[in-house]
Parts: sequence; C-alpha cells; structure tokens
Amino acid sequence: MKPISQGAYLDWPAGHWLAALSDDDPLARRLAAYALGEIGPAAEEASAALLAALEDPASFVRVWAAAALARVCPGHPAVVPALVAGMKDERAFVRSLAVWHLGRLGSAAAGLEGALPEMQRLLADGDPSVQVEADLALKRLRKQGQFLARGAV
Amino acid sequence: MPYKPIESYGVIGDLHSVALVGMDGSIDWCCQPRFDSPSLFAALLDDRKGGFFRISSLLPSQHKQMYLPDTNVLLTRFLSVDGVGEVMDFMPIQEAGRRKTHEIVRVALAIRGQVRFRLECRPAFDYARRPHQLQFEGRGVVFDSGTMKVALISRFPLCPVGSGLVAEFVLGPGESATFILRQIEDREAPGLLEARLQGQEALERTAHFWRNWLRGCRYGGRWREMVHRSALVLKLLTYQPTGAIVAAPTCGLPEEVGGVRNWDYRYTWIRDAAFTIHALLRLGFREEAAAFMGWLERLTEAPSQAGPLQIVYGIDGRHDLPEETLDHLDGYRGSRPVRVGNAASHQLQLDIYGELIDSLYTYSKSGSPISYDWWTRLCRLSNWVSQNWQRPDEGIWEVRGGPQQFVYSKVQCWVALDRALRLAAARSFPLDEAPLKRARDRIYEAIMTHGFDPARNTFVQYFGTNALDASNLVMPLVKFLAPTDPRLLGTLDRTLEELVSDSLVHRYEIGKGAGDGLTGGEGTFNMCTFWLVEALARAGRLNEARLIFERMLTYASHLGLYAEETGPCGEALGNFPQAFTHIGLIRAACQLDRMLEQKR
Repeated sequence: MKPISQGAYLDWPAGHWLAALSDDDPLARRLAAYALGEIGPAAEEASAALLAALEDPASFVRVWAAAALARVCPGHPAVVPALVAGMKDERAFVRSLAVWHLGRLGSAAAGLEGALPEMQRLLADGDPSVQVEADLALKRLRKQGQFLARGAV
Repeated sequence: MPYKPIESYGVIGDLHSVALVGMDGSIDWCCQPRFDSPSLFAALLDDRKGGFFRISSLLPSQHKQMYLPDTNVLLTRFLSVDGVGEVMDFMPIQEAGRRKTHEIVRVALAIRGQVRFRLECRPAFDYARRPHQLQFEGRGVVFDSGTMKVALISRFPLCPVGSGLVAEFVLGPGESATFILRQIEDREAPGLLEARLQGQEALERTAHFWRNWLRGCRYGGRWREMVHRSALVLKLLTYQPTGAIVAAPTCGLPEEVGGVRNWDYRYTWIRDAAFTIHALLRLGFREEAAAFMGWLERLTEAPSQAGPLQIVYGIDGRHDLPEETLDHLDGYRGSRPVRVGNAASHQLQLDIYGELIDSLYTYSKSGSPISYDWWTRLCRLSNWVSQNWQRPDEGIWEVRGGPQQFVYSKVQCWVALDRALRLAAARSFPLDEAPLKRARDRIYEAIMTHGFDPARNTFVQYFGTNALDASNLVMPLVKFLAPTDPRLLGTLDRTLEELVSDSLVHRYEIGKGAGDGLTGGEGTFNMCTFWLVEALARAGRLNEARLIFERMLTYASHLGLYAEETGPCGEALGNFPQAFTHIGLIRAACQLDRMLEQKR
C-alpha cells in the first residue's frame, strides 16, 4: 500500500495537483481537489487554494474541495457549511455527492450537527438515489459519535 | 502484468455475455454486447495490450474468491492484517422490454480496517484493434471507439492515464463504493451515464434472479453443490434472446500452453446443444430445454452445404463464421495464433444427427411431446442419415487431417435412426420404417465388423485402424450396447490402459489414428473423463467410477469451474468455463448417484 503521507497521488506530488486546481476545465479541478484530499495533511500547502475553491463556479467542484479540505485540514470550520450548501444544489448528483461526503466525514467533524436537518430533509428528496444516499449517510453517522447516539439523528 | 492460471478466474454474466474476473480483481476478458462480439477486455490473450478493468486492494493481501450462495454474483476478497476488502461483481439481468443495456456492476467494500483500493480501467475495443477517445463528464467517463460507447460511472474522480483511467480511494469499515461499466446497444441512445450508484438494489435483484432460477433444479443427490454450480454455468452460457448456448465464452485459450490448438468457442454446436438439453432435462429445467428446442427448430429450416444441418452456428442462428487469426495479439502465455470465427463450421460431422434426434426423443419422452412439424423435420434428418451414413466425416473432434469412417459418428448415426423409430412407435407418427430399420441394422453390423479390433478386444477410432478413441465410451450411454457386453468391457479396459493418466482421459493418442493436422500436444479431455465415470458405473464398477469422479472433482477450480481440458499438473487448459465439461459432470453425478442409491 502506498502511504498517503508520501505526499503524492498517482505518483504526482501535491504541487502538480495544486496547479491543476486552477485548470479551466471544472472536471480537472474536481480531480485536483480529490487528489489533494487523498494526499491529506501532507498537502497543507494547498489549504488556501482549497478554501478558495469553495467558491468555484461549478457546484460539484465546491463539494469535492470541501471534502478535500476536511482531509488536508481536519476540523476546518468551512467544510460542513460548504457541504450543506451542496445538499441544496439543483442537480441531484451534487446533492447526492454532498450528503455522501457528510456521511464519510464522521460524527466528530466540526459543526456536523448543523448539517443534520438538511440531511434528514434529503430523506424525502425528489430523486430516489439522493434519498438512498441520505439514508446511508445518516445510518453511517448513527453508528458513530455519542451526540448521535443521544438521538440527534 | 503476468498471465494468471486459466482456472484462477471467476465468471459473471447477464445471459448476453460474460466477464472473467481474476483473483486480483481484474476483469481480463469481456466481449460486449454479446458473447461473440469483439472483446473490450482481453488481457487474457495479451497482457500488455488486450485491455482490463481491475479493482483491487493496495494492502499486501491474500486473495480469495467465492460466489454468493446459489448465484453468479462473485466476491473477490483481499485479506490482510491491516484490513479486509472485497469487490463484488455481477451483471444485472436485463428485464424484458427494457432497452438493451449491459452493465458490469463492481462494488468495493471495506469489511475491516481502512482499505485503500486502486481502480484501473483500460478497455481495448475490437480485440485491441480500434482506438478510443475519452469523454469526461461529472458522473463518469465515456470511452468512445467510434462504433461503440462504453461508460464507466464512478463517484470518485477518474484520472486519465494513457488511454485508460485510474483512481485510488480509501474506504472505512462497512463503507462501499459502486462502479458501473455500462453499454447501451443503441450507440446514440441518451442516458449512458444515468445509473444509480448504489449497488445494493441491483445486487438484490440479480441475486434473486439466480436463486429463483436455481430453485427449479430437482437434483438432490450427492455432490449437489457441484451439480448446482454446473447448472449455473450452463445458464450463464445461455444467450437469452434465442435460447442458444455457447460452448464456452472465450476464444484462443490453448489446449496446450504455447501450442496452436487455440479455438473460438463462442458459438453453438449442435452436439453441445443436444447434450445440454439432456443435462438440463435431467435437472428439471424444462424452460431452457424448450427455448433451445425452439432455436434448433428454426435452424432445421435452412439446410447447410454439408447436409441438412451445419455443425455449429452463431448464437443468432447465422451460418457463416469466417475464421481469422488475430496476429497482433500475443496469445495466452504466447499461445499463438489467436483464432476468432470457426472454420470447422462447414465440416461434415455425422454424429450431430444422432445427438440431436436423441435429445428430441428425450425431450418428447420427458413430457413435452414434439409437434407434427418437428416430426416432419426429424423425418427429413433421419432419411438423410439413412442415405449418407457411409460417408467419411471429420468426426466429433473436428480433425483437420482429412475425413475418416469414425466409429463414434457411425454409432450416432445408429442412434439417430434408432430414436426416430422409437419416437414414431411411441407417438404413432407416420413413417416408412423399413428403409430406416435396414440402414440402422447395416450401421450396427458395420461397426461390429469394421469398428472393432478382435485382437485387442476393443472398439477403435475409425474403420481399419487399431487406434483408440475415448468417444467410444459413449456406447453404453446411448444404449448401443449393454454396459457389460464383453466388447465394451474390453474397450473400457483398453481405454483405462492406454488413454487414462492419473484418472484423466485423453480423447485419443496424438500421433496415432486420425491426425488433427496440427503439431504439439494437448491435455486430458474432461468430458471423456466423465464419460468414463458413467461407463464404469453402468458396467457395475461403482467403486472405480466413484473414485475417478471424486478425483475429477479435485481438478475443479476454487469456484467449481472447469475448462475443456486438464493438464498434467491439474491446470485448466482450453476455453473456460466450458459447457461440455459441466454437462459431463451433471450426467455423471446423476448416473453415479442413482446407481449408488440402488446399491444401498
């Protein structure tokens, strides 16, 4: 297993992906954000750019940038609000993506409680695949953290 | 990426095509959208340029594979101290009336620990002859070869590397990620990337389909799991739109590693079809037998060059299967050439008439009386046999060294006429019996006179030779002779002495008897080993039969699958998995179990 701490994703270092975060193609920016997230804290140099990417014109890039920020700068307060905004996106696959990422963050993520009402709302989303993803994310969180065990979900 | 043992692959399918999945989570063979379409992944035949789709754990792992019970849903497991990961692979069965979409669903799961996976998808369209473009979208990537589009739908962003895609991702305990490889037969149809990325629902539907199908199996005897797996393999090799069954879903896998006997088996042989009907009927699968009968009935409407029937057809019933070699492919472990198409399709093989009419007879006897129209076709076939049985042919093994008077072919000509006469008597169908009876009896005498070597007390491969052929083991199975007839017992003993090695049966001795016109050798032929089991059992030699059968079971793959042949070290050889072998297993298990029960 190639350790994430090596500071590279698919053999390209963080600097390569940091540059790609400014690509014209939103799909290339999404990939760059994901790659930086996979590199994790070793890509600390990218934290400011990831923070800036939370304002990317493409909503799915914003969601991936938030998820990456959570791994590069664990506990960053901007993560959950960005994902909550993603859950309100007009495109179903972005809502689905955002709630999936929230489920993956873990119950200890800063400000997660604030996301729970929106996650629960997605249980009745008009798109069935969003509903299923919200259900899976909430179940995943329910298995974790004490505040959830107390009935927050 | 080195070649893996043939037997190390598991197989999944959607009744239109299959995918072979290695123990390392790599799909190394898949043709889309049909069994006989050009390959999309063919690393099995060229590990550098053939194309593959791998999802595997990056933890240093032990690999295991299993099917979810009673299904063709395959689980590849990666076991390590730090974590356990799985990849669940299946191909959803198309619902009737829906648009023709083919999917390979791959669900990666972390069972224990944090598991880092690597996905690598490198399709190579048209047997790696046609390049493709990558089109990225939010939900995945479309591979477009110009004639076909295939989408890989993924939640994780995919990174282009060369002509393929790579991603690495980490899953926590209990977490899963679904990937869908999708093709729509209508190239311009919209929605190629529209699929739910939760595998659970599709998994439940697919698993239910297989379990529900297997519930129709009536077999409750010994070795039930092996029989069930064989039935599931036969169903997997069925092309749903026509009911045809391919002999095997691969081409070019060698009968000898490095050798030249590398054939394309993605077609439907009348012989295999007839044997399949027998096997399915024995297990109680009447619907599949009926569908196959319908397919056969349509074929008998269009005569071939060599006789009323061609020996092999495309799964859609087409007659023309032009053979070509794919010289740009390395071949499995250097086994060249890789052939596609089949030049044997215009050979004369007289045995197919016996096998076909016998299966019709069995089908009719099993409670599905054949129609008058079928009977008229059958009359045409049996009349043709009565007038043509003396012709030399290429025989069951499709030898390419010139036609001979093969004993097995004559036996099956006798079967054709015998079953036609029996069917006419049982159903009081109109038939001019006298010429058929005369021909039947002449065949019998010819076999006894010219096909038997009194000096060695054995039936031989063809008239005038003293070479053996394992296909003669079928004589008691088709009731040509009593299983304990001294001539048969002599043949059994000679076969055991000269064609059997460590319980495994060679179909003939290469270099002796009729040549197949090729150099090199081959493994032992699994179907013949199961015929030996059945012949021994019918002769009352149950202990020998059981030991050979049980030994043969040890040559199955870890998933209970067989290729056409077995090599000296137990390795699978030839196309994989092979219907003929699984048919043989079903027949031998049913017969042996019945006789063991009778003995108790």
